[in-house]
Parts: sequence; structure tokens; C-alpha cells
Amino acid sequence: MARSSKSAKGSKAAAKQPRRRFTFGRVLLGLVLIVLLIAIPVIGIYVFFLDYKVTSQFEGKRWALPARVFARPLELYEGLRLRPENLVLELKQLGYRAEANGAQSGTYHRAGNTVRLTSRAFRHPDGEEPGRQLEIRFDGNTVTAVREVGGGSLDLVRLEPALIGSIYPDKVEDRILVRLDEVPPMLVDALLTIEDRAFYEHSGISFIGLARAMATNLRSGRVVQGGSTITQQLVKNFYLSSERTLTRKINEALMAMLLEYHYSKQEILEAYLNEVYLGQDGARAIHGFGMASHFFFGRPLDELQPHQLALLAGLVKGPSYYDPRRHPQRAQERRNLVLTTMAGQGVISADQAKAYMERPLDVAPTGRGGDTPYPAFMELVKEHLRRDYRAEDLGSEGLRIFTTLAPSVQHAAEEALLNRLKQWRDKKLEGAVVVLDVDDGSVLGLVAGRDVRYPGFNRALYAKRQIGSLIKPAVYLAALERPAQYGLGTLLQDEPISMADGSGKTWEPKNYDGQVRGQVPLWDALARSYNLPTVYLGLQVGMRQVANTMQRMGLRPPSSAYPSMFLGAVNYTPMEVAQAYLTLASGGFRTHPRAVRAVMTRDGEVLSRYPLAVERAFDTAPVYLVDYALQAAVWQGTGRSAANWLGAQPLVAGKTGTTDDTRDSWFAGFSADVLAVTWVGRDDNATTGLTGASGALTVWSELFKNIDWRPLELTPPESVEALYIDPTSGMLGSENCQGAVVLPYVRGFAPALSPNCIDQRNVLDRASDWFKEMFDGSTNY
Amino acid sequence: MDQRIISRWGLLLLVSLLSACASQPRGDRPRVDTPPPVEQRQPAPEVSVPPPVRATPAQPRATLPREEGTLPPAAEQAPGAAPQPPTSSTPPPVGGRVEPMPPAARNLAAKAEAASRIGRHDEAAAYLERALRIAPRSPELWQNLAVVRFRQKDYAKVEGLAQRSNALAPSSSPLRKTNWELIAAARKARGDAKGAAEAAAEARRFGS
Repeated sequence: MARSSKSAKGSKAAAKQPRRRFTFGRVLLGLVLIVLLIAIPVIGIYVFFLDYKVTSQFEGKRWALPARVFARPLELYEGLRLRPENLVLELKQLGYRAEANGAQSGTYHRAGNTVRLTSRAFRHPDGEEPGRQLEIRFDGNTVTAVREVGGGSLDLVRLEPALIGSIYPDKVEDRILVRLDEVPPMLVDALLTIEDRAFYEHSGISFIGLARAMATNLRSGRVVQGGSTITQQLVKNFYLSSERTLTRKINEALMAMLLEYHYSKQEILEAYLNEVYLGQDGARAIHGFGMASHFFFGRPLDELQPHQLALLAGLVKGPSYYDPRRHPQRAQERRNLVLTTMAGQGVISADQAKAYMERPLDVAPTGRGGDTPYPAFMELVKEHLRRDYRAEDLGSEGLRIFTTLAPSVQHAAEEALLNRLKQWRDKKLEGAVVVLDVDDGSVLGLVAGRDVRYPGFNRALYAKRQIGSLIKPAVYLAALERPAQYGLGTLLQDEPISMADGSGKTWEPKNYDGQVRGQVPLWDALARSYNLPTVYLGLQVGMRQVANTMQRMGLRPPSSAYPSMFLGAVNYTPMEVAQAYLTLASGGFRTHPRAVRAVMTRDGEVLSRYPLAVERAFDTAPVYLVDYALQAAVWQGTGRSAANWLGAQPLVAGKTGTTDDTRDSWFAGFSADVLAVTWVGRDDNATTGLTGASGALTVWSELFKNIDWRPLELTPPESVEALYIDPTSGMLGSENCQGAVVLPYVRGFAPALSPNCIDQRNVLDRASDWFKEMFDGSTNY
Repeated sequence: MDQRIISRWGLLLLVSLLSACASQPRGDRPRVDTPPPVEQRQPAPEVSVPPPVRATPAQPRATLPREEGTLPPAAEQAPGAAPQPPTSSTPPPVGGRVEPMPPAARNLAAKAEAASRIGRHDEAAAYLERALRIAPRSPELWQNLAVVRFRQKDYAKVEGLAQRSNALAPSSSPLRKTNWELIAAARKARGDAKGAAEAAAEARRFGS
């Protein structure tokens, strides 16, 4: 091109020489023709190439969309255990705003025992849930009514799940796609007013806009206005590098015109709205208004108010310079300029502009929808997904991942751990919390350390620590599986013992309090976590049997069996412990903890489900007996300080664990529906001065105080009967026998009659009478 | 060939499940002794229907164990009563209690039935899992899920689910018989003939 224009100049100079004009003219003409002959096809091919590039990429434009990870959706129904505070917590997690009557999508209003809210429509893996205006009534911590405002009562309502994170590829462009018809008109108005007033008139490039920009720039002596149309900006972002050369500018203009030739204004605008860069969150680039809305305001675009939309429109010009979090003053000025310009153009009235300008920026404090506020849980999710999905697909296909996390439970778990850690003032003290659903193994919450937002070492999943007395239920369960030999009332030896350990040294375990009691009932030995009776019991039952029981509970088998194993000289992670206790909590069924329920494509096709699977590992009766003793542990045994949080005799069961020199403090406990394992200790394995009761149990209790759970009512299975047991002999007693206690026994395995009670007449008959009375409801034991 | 026998056998089993578990009163049970002609691998329409529990709200089926009087009334009268601590003078509570299924769970079970009927078993299972989160102690729901897995030929999951149902169902409940039949069929399908025979014997203990 440049060369041909030089030749044109040359032809003017040559005009002064008539003689040679003719021949020179011919030569020139020939040259021009040749150049044109070459240039036209070249330009043609080039334009054709550009055209191909524009159309193929525009039509095939698939933004790499990170996978979205969602919490479990909250289901609301009559009878649900949920206190209003926790509903509000869940709503806030969803970005709901408290407003007078909760009549707008994404708002709520609480008045005492009633919460009104308007939910958002959401496509779940098993169907669409409409957005509705709802009224939820509570009585204490129970939902008593769910109804649609202006409609009838509803059996079941499911809120949309909270977005708890995204899984990105290495190069991080983050966006939530929006359709033009979902975008508030106010945003489009603001955007076109400030960026491209002639958008609907021009054909890709705007000379008026360019002229206006040049005039403005000349006046101010620097570049304040780009003069690029929206189409040009889109082309620039879509196809071109950011270098500022003439060639690029020409390409941009050509491609802008081609784009306009092929596509409607609506299509171009929609692509622009999704493409434009609007902010930065660490390595994550915020693209498009859909994500920007979540990032800056923590709610979807269609819920933003005019002053917020004006701010977003203003950001286009300089997302970093006008960053409303770092430079609120600049951002506010820019927003107000947008509003003033809109008023000046008659898009909004001056009064409206004035009112909007008086509003604060209303930006959410931290960016939402980013990596994740729950790095520990997300690690578990990714580990889970790695089995079935390639990292590239997770980072680019916009998959929707539905997890089991319960935001209010997670919140309570974090708070409980952090609050307690604060009390102890040891900066190096760390902790972990695993919360599971008893029935289906869903991971409801996971805390991996004191820095809950930082994706550091995941203690909940990977810290293998000695578990101390947490092992004891396995020893007792192994025994109680032999009902002919052991019952809860069986007396166990509580005497000093000394034996050689594996390395040839002498092992002399002691009770925690240093006392010996001669003999103690089995249930009491577990509830009070006595060491010596446990060792005797373990030795009687056999190491192999105990190891087998541990394995059936879901624990990795210990590499070698040795007596100190009975007192928990084995290492497991909090998650492994939780899985083993899940077997106890569910009545003897092994259930795999799961963090992901389903994976769905962006278009709503379910790719995979992770189904509930349970496996019978133990008979119901022996597990029931262990659970009974574990409830006694909380009521009267080592876990009794739970009463400080939960009141006397809370309907839960659990076990403390303390390791040598208080290096590890554990508690594993459960209600009918929720199980949690808490651990407190130091990464350097130093002593902490905390026992299971003074450390981990307090975290657990604080957690259970703040979440909603169903009481563990421990109704015995039919294979279990209640018997009077004479505690001095551990044998069958009777109602009138001095000091007799009632304990559950496996039916048909009553011990022999105690000699102490032999004078009682018709003992067995009486016991069965009592049984009948209980069933008639006439005796309230 | 063996596979065919299994599948025919499984279908027959399901026919009997249907009859055992349909929600009609005992009087007008469908007859079991004349199974409809069954084509190879083609479930007969009746066979593909039956999550064992009908979940229509009008049916009191959800509270079935209570109806049949297998539950000690005492246990029902004090639903909120705390078990007493195992101190020297207080006995533990005794007697299983089956809570009535809330309507929310019943509706989901009905959706599951509809989905399973048209072969959408994954969807059916997802509904049942949701229902179980609402009513985790419902032996009917656990059994329904076991049936759906059976229909999917996901035999490995059947036994655990059916056992879970058994653990929650009172001993005289007809649910138990069905569960053992399911277990027997699943074991057989997995090639465990001995285990299947044992489970079938358990099922027979409940009469026919």
C-alpha cells in the first residue's frame, strides 16, 4: 500500500515532461494496474481472512467458563429443625438483603418468629425451582409453616444454593454469562450513554464519536476519550492484542465493520456485556457484567439498583483506576459523572440522577464468587472430582458442581473453633473440625486450621494424629459383639498391669486419674474412659478381633497390632475418625463421606451423580449398646462438661480423646442426624495442656449449641431388652435387689441370676411384668 | 443363559414385591401366583411400577407400622421424652418408634415413583435421597431406594440399603420380608447363590 502511494506522487512529478509523458503514463498505468491486480486480491483475501476470523470466532465463541461450585440448597418444610437465626445466616450467605417486606427477589424480612423472603429461581440437577415470595414460621428451632405469600401452604420449598467457589484453569478469566434480555435496561442505557452514544446508528466505527473524542482530547491536551465504539472495543478484546499500532487500528476498524455487517446490534451488545473486563481479584480477572455484579455487590445483576448499575457502567473506562474498593472516591466521581451525563442526555431525569448520586457505593466488602471462602472443603471437592474429571474440563466447561456443604453449619464450625482458640491464647495451637450428616455421610462442614480462609495444610484431611481414647469404642464394640460373654454390666478388671511392648520395653498403662478401682462395670469404664479395664478387655477379646472391628468401622487397619493400640496409639486423620464414628452413629452402617452430590453441565444435563451407598458392618444391637455407653459418657463421664453449652443430659453421645502429655485433644460426638469430630493440637506436636474435655469437647459443644440437630433418642432395637443388673456382681438382678441398675442387653443373653438377689421371688416374671407395663405406657420408668 | 434366568427370576421377584408392597388393603392384593407373561429383559408394565410404598398423601401407608400394631404404644406416647441417664435406678427406654413421613418426603417419593416408572432411575434415586434427608428414619424410603437400585441392576448397593430399611422397620413389618427378598435377588444377581438362599430363608420366616 505504502509503495503504491509513493508511485502516485512520482507520477505528478513526471507530468512536467510531455515527451515522455505518454510512455511514462503507460508505464505508470501499467504499474498501477499491476499493483492493483496484486493488491485487490491481496486486500480481498485479507478482508476475507478477517471476515472468516470475525465470524468463526464470534459464532464459535466459547468463553472458557470455570466450574461453579454450590453449597447444598436449603430445603424448607414443616417440621424442619432450623432456628430463624440460621435461616437468616443462610440467606445472607446467598446475598439476600434485609428489606421492609422481603417482596423483591433476594430480600428478606424477619419479624420475631416469622421470616418473609423472596427466593430466586434456580435450576437444580433434578429440576427447576421457581422464585417465590415465601413466609416461613417458626416455633423455637422448628419450622411450623411454609407458605407462599398470597397463596397456600407449601409442603416443600428449596432455596437456591449458595455459590461457594469456582474451579479455574491456569489463566483466569472469570465470568457469568448473561443474556441481553436479563440485563437491566438501565445498565445498557448507562453504558451506551457513557461509552457509545451512537451505537444504534453507526456501522462499526463512528466518525462523529471519533471527532468528538479528538476534540475533547485536544481541548484537554491528553487522551481522555477513546472514541472507540462498543463494537471496536469488542473487536479489540476478542481478536486483537493490546498493542497500539496503526495496523492494529486499521484491522480493528475493518473487523468492527465486518462484525456489524454480519451480526445484529443485539448480538454485538450481548457479547460485549459478557466480554468486557471490569476488575481484578488477585489472579482472577473479572469479565462481563454478570460476574462483576457478584464480585462487587454479592448479588445477581437483575437485583442491582440504578446507582449500582451506573457504577458498573463507569468501570468500563478503567477498572483498576476506578476500583470501588481501592479508590472509592474516584469510583464515586465516575459513577456520578455517568449519572450526570445520563441526565444531560435525557435518559433519566435530573431528580433521579440527584437521588442516585446521594446513594453510597453499596459495594460488598469482599469479592464474592471467587476462588472460595472455604478452601478446606474445596480441596475435598477437587479431590473427589479428580477421579472423574480432567482439570481442563473443570476449568473451562462451566460445569455446575453441587456439593453437600451446609453454609450455616460451616459458619458455626469456624466460629466454634476460632472462638475457642482465642480463649487459649497459644498462637501455635491449631484445630480441625469435620461435620457429617449421620444418615448419608454428607460433609456439612470442614475446618482445617485457624486460618479458615487460607488454603494451607488441610489438617482435617491429612493430619494423622494419635487418637487416644477415641479408639476405645472399637474395643468395647468388639466385646459387645459377643453377647454371651459381655454385656454393659459385665465387670472388668481395673488393676495395674505391666507387659512388654513390641520393642522389648515395659508398658505400664495407668488410668488418667492414677486410681485403680478393682472392678468396674463395662459401660462405666467406657463412659469414664478408664484405661486399665480397656486394656484388660482388649486382651481378653484379642488384638486381632479389635483390629478387625476397627477395620469394619471404616478405619485403615493398623500395620501391626500391639496392646497400646487399645489406648489409641494409632494415627488417623479427623476425617478418618469421623468416618469410623459415622458407623456408630448410624447404627452399624458404614457410609462413605461424600462432598459432591452431582455434576451438571451449563445446559442442565446431569453428567454424574455420587449416590448414597451404605453397607452393613455390625448388627444393630452391639452398636446400640456402645452408643448407650457413649451417651453415658456425655451425661456422666468424661464428656459431661458439654452440659455447660447444651444443658444437662443433652441428647447426644460422644467420646473424648487425649494423648500422652496432652499433645492431641479430640472429641467425636453425634446427635441423631449430625456427627462432628473436633481436634485441637499443635503442628509441632508439642504439649498443649488441653485434654479432650478441656479442648476439643468445648469446640464441639459450642458448635452443637449453634447448629440445629435432632435429639439422639436411642430407642433400642427390638433385639435389645432392658434388664436389672446387680452392679456388685455384674449379673442379673431385680427391681427390689439392692442397688440394681437397668441396662440394655441383647435379647436372649441375660447373665445368670446374681447370688445377691437370689432371694427375690419370681424375678424374671417381675421383669417381664415391668416390661409389659412400659409398653402399656402406665409406667414412666 | 444364567443371566437370563437371573433377570427372569428378578422380574418374578419384582412382581411379588409389587404385590407384597402395594398399598392396597390386604383384601385386594394382586394375585401373585399368576405372573403376567414376561418377555426377556422387557419389564412388564406392572413390574416397572413399584416402589413398594405408594406415596399419595391420602394413603396412610407412611405410618404403616403403627397401623399394623407392631409398635408398643408406650413408645409413641412420649415422643419427646428423654431417655433417662443410665444411673443406678433408671432403665433405658425400650421400643422402636417410626415417625410418620412428612408430606414433603411423601411427595418426593411419589415423584421418584413416577420417574422410576419411565425408567429414569437416576432421577428417581435423587428424589429418594432428597426424601431421605427429610425423613432419614423411614424404612419405606430406604427400601424404595433399594428397589430403584435393583431395577438399575446396581446390585452392589441393594443389600446395604435394604439392610438399612430392615434396621428401621419393626420386626413384624412386611417391609422386612420384601427387604430380604431384595437382598436374596441382589445376591443371586451377583453370583452369591449361598447368600441368596440364606436371604430367601430369612424372607420365608415372614410367611408368604
